Amino acid sequence: MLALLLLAALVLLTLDFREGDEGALSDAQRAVSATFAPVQDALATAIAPVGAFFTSIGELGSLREQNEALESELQALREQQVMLADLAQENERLRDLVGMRERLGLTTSAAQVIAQPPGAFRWTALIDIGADQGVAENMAVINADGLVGKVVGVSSTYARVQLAASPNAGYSVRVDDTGQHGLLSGRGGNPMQLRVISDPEEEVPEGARVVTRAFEGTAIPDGIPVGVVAEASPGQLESAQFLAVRPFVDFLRLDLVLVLIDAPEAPLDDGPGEENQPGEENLPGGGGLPGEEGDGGEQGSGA
Amino acid sequence: MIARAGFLVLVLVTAVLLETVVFAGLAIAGHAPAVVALTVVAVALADGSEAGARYGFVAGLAVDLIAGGLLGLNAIVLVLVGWAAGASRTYLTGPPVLAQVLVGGAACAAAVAAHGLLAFLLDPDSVTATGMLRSVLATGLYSAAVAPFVVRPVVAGLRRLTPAAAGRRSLK
Repeated sequence: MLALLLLAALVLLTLDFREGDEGALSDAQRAVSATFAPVQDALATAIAPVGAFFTSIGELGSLREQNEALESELQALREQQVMLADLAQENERLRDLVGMRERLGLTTSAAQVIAQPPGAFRWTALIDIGADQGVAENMAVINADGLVGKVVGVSSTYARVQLAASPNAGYSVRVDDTGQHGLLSGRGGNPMQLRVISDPEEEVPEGARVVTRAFEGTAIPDGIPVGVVAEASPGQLESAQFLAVRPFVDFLRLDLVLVLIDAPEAPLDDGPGEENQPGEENLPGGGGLPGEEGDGGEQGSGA
Repeated sequence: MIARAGFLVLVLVTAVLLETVVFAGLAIAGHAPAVVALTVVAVALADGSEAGARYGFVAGLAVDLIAGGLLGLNAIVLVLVGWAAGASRTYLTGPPVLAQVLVGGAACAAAVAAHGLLAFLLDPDSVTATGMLRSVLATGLYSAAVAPFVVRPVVAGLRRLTPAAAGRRSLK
């Protein structure tokens, strides 16, 4: 029996070896294989999760290392994401600033607000550029939203800006829609006050845009957005001459600003310009600017 | 007889599927247990050398037809495995499980070695000495571990289906 079986197997082996891939035996092999293949395929699909489970057991060591490496990478990516979000916001702010500069068509110098002192100096801000970067007193300071204020003190590397909301500040402005001009005064945290000087009897619509008005000798160019006419504040003298103006600029969240370096002098004008409010000639000293030399104190900002 | 033949066909088909699909996915260092060879050992341990050789021939042909390769190669190997496993029955003492593990592991290792030798004779470039040695050891050990789970149920099934056993049941 053993010999017979071995002989039969040997005959088949010899025939298949000699015929190669073209013989009847090879055809039979292909037919059986093709018939059985779907069964193997179905079983392989059914047990794939089980196989994966056992495979993963063997890979536990490397999986742990991979996991730790991926966790570190994820943490780094999260930090990068936060940084990118900050960069995107800064990019947007800078684009807005560039847009404002292009609209004005003036030479500007960008600066970062580095300090807004509390107390009596609340309505001033310190910026990180000074005389070395071409900054001088009375230069206008703006941001993407509009007028921030003007430079009232300069050292070589820093400058102090009196904010437009300061009770000591006043600017010549005009109502963009009607052309009426007047004097705008800061009132600290309250809306600014606009005293309409030309055509005071003409109604100024609520929501009318207020912009700066160039005045002879001033370095504040025409057309810088300041705010919108709001309702008159309760308690004020209700007169067509006095209007509340809500500023565009958020003076409590100042970040990047532009100093207008080469604003041209305004042409002759017979209207009132910026006025020094009482006490404006001598701003409270308190130490002056970092690195400031000379007469030891901020000069009052004049027209 | 028919039931026994049907049982062996079922065992063979299951063994081929287990070896080519299931244990292919559970390979250790690229080696899977020789489940078909273990069924040959089981038939040989249950019914002797001749039955083991006959079943080995059919099983070898089935593997050659399904898995490809030279027709008759696995048939030669498994005929010899079946005959040798059946011949070892008289020398086996001790717990059956131990016999199954030892004979199963040795038979599968011998099957891989014989297959490798024949393949070398037919095509010397297809086999390397170190590769064959690694396969013999890995397959032998893996098969020995799996042997009790294959040999035992096949032996038990065959014993239940032998004519003597059937006769005893009919007399009850």
